[in-house]
Amino acid sequence: MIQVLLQALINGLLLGGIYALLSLGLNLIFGVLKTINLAHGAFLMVGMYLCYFLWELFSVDPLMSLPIVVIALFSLGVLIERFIVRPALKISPGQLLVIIVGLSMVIEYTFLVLFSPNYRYVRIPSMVYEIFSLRIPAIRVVALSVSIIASVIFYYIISKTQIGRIIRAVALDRVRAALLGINTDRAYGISYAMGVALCGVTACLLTPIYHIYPLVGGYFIPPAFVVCIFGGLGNFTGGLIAAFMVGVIESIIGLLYNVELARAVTFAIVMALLYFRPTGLMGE
Amino acid sequence: MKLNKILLAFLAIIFLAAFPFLNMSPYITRILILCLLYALLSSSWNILGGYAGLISLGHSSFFGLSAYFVYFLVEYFLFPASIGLFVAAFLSAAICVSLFTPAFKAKLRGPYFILVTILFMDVLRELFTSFREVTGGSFGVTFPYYEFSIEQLQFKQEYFYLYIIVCLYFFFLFLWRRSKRLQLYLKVIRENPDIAESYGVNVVKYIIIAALLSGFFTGIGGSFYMIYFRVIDPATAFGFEMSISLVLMATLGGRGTLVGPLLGAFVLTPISEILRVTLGGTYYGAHCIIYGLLLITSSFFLPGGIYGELNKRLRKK
Repeated sequence: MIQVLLQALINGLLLGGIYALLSLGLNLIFGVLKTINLAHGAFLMVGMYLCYFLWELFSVDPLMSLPIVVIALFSLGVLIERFIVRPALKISPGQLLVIIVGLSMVIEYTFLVLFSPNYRYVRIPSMVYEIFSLRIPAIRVVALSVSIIASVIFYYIISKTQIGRIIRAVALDRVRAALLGINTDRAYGISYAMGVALCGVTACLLTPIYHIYPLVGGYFIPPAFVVCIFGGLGNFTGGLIAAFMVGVIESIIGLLYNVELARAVTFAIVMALLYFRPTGLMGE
Repeated sequence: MKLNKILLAFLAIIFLAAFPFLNMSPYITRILILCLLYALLSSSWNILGGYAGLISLGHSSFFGLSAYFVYFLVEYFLFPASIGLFVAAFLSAAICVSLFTPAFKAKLRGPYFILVTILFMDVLRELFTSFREVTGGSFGVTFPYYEFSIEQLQFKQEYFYLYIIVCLYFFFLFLWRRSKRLQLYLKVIRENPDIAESYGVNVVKYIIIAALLSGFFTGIGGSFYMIYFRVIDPATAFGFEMSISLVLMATLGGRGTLVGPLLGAFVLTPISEILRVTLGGTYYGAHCIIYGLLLITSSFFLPGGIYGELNKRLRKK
């Protein structure tokens, strides 16, 4: 029994890495644009398909294709921010969420029509470490370590570089940042694109683990929202801790009962949390 | 003005009375029924999303709950469907109130409110998928079939269902037309709840009434769907597609107006049906692309919806 629980704990931690990356992007976009990026799942799916086709057509390993996918998604994010999000914010900020939902529908269902809803796989033989008869797939360990490295790089960019300072200033107060001569439009663009690029990183890590289908975002994004609320929207550290908590809770309950119930429980906990502490557990 | 309305009502009654003799194909009748069903659902979304400004992107949860409730009532508690329809709608209205009122009181606005509604829908979908013994898991449930039964609301002829949904829609119109004060207060609350409260509007009370009405009529739509189509599964009942359709119809037609959702439903449902028929199984999902594009373009170029735009044009002349 203890061993099974330990196994669930490890699986949860490995899953948490994925959620952490997704929620980092969501948090960044929420922090700066003050909106939930409901199209996050669509971008994740685009990244996964890109990864898949790179592997299928040019046999590029998903991890090797990481830079390509990240750059592609970054540019996609820049384009979407420039041509959809920015005009929407100027016309009616209240409509932005609905517009983003429309956008995600267009992307997801275009892929559905083009590539059919069939599951696709990237099968890469992976070794499995066995420590005290606990099974740890190497590919998931790689995913976890890459997600930790990506988060550290992300932290470095946000806290140490000039761009990071600009983003933090705009997130704090857009008007005053503009008064100080910061190009806020560009900060919006960069943070949106960075959020989308983080989807790309996640996509490359997920491709060898999970199957790929056009509505895959609907599976991974709700837990990512949950993580964001758990840690407090716009709060990076909180999100990171919450990601691993949610991953572990989900995998333990999922092991004892079933995955659907596990998700229902985590979602319900977070909904209750929203009512009492909208700023999240780690929020002020 | 008054005469016009009476004339219009008269024409509608004649049309409905003559309907069985028009020999329309069941397919056309079905599209008409769907249009009215979506008009009812989207109007009830509009009470909260359009008038009160509490945008819910998970409104299909009440639709689905009610559809499952009416199934449980008929299957396990041996209710006749005609009564179960209203009981299920009341249950889902109660759930709607108990979800939205605390959220409103806790000052969850904008993104937070939307997250609550989406999460609620996800919770329900996972729960109904998880308890396979009761809810049939992801295969869903099928309604018991009777050849012909008035109390179970099952008929061979499609036009009976058309009559039922017309009656239900008129029931909504009847209630909503009589609540001018509620509509006014909801609009005030949408603009600024705090100022509304400082002027003596009992904000919470009116939000409760709005949630009750919205949940009730969404529920009625859900039970009607169950009785008419006789099958429901968690992905349809608690899916994003349904929720978004409701938002889209109201947005396209004109949020916060009575005619808007009706217009939106009558424009969009035939489009999606035609796409489904012409593209069919090979390109499933094409109608969702159109929905998404319409959602984007109408939000950009028709902020007041079709109805708002028409109103503006007519007033200018």
